[in-house]
Amino acid sequence: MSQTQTVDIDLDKGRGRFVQAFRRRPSILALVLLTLALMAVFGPMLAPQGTGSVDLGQAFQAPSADYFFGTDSSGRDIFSRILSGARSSLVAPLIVTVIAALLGTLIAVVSAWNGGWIDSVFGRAVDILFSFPGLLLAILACAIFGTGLTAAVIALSIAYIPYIARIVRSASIREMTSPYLEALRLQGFSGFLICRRHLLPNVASVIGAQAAITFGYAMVDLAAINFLGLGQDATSPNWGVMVASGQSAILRGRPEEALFAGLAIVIAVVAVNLLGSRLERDASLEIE
Amino acid sequence: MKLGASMKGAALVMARRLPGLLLTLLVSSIFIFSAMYLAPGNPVSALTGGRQVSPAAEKALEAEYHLNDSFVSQYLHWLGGAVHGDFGTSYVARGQSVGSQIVDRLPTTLLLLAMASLAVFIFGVLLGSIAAIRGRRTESVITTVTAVGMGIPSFVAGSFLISFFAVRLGWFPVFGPGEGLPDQIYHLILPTIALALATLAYVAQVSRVAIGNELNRDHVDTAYARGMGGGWVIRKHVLRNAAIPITTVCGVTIAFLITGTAVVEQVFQLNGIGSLLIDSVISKDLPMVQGICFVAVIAIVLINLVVDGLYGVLDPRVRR
Repeated sequence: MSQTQTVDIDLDKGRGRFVQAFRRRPSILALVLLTLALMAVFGPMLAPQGTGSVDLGQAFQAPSADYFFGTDSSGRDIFSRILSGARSSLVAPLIVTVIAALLGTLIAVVSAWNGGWIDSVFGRAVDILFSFPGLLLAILACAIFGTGLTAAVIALSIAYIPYIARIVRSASIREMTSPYLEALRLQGFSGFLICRRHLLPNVASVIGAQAAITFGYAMVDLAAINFLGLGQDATSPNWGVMVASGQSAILRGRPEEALFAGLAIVIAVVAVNLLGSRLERDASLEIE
Repeated sequence: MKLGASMKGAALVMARRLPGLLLTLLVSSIFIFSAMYLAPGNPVSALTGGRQVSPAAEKALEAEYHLNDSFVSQYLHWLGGAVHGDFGTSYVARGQSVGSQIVDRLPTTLLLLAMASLAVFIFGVLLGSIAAIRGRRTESVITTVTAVGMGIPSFVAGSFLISFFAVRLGWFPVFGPGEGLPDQIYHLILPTIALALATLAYVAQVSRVAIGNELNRDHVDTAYARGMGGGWVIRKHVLRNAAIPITTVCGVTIAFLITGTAVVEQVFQLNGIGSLLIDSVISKDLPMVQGICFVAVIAIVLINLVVDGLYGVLDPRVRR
């Protein structure tokens, strides 16, 4: 890897008291993450008014007991639409994260284990991919394959491979210098077996931390794709789509749809980011 | 610091990184060119966005892109045009050249990018320094604020800013790029905040950690022990060393600002390159998309090169 990109920065060192307190009592973060997970699974069923029926007579209602977050320009209940939009808003970044984590780990372990030209070829490929921002690749994919979430999800899955591969590669190389792995190798165990049984479990915490951070990025990028009208169609409940469809209402002084949907995105992203830095800290403690 | 030595360092590091960056450019350009083959249907329909064109126009397209030649020579023809700013003709915008459209839209985007980069660099490093140098309470407040700030996407920030500062308070215009430089800057204040916010928070966090690490080093203690003033030590010993990782991160983040303009220009309805890109994707104007993506990749590679040069100036160790 090149010189400029190996500067390691420990974001956790000397973190403020608030974040530390948050860590000592992880229940708040756990509660937020659990709520998000439940929303993704049961959200559409819990929505009091389904995806909301169009009723122009009820358009632009202020928040009330009937409509917790008010109604949108078509008179649909914003609260219900946020609940029913949780699934598509959260599952798509999850798919990106899982694919990127699997491929990234595969590339990282194969390069770390084999070294030599395989490592340099993969290293170079990862460098090139790294300089191509994920959102740009996703937009290009939408231009080539037509709008819709599939193209964007595949593009982002590829774009985020470097984020996983880099960190996992260096963690694997660090792990491989430990005597027990050398001992296993000398005993003649196959590389595949050593990687699967010993190397992977020992770098799992690093993969987890990096995957959480990737989820946050993927969530923002996919929400942007949906906001831009390149992802899901404009009628489907989705947080990014809702921020876009709420734009015209903002000018009428009714920002509820855009802002509550935006808040949902922010809460989800901040929660997984905090989870990521928490896992990252635990992983670095483990290594020490 | 001798100027000659730093320039030499910059040139050395840039030269060392050049092959890698050229390879990035080559691979990206092949990929961007291949878009018309990757798209469903034949290249001609991909280039015209599936629109019916006259047989004469089809012939012109075949000639322009040398579609009857081999893939390699097609690519070379395209690349040869692209490096001269000729990205072909847009069939959606009634035969306008892609290059001239991009040039028309460039000023707004460049101004937005310049303002956002400055905001990220100045306020990001400032916030990070304050967090690292002031007491624990200040640090915890800034850490919390930046942790939240990092999670706010530009279009959410933009929606809030329009709703609060433009619609409710009426301090800023809602949309549009403005006329004349002072008015343009005024129009771009909210878009700049929206674009810079998450990146600024990230740079602040990185700066806080980098500066915090330097503050704990022995040479800083020694400098204080020698009786040096706080400001002098911070400038000459702490910031000077912390500048190296901070510069690296700023370079990486500017690449993300470039893509971010696509979203922010859409929120604030600015007629820059970003909104041209999104409009072109929606109207299936492939030559335009290819041209803009190529320009974006070149910009990102150039910024990386400049950052590597700065790295050579800042870090004498890499000059060897």
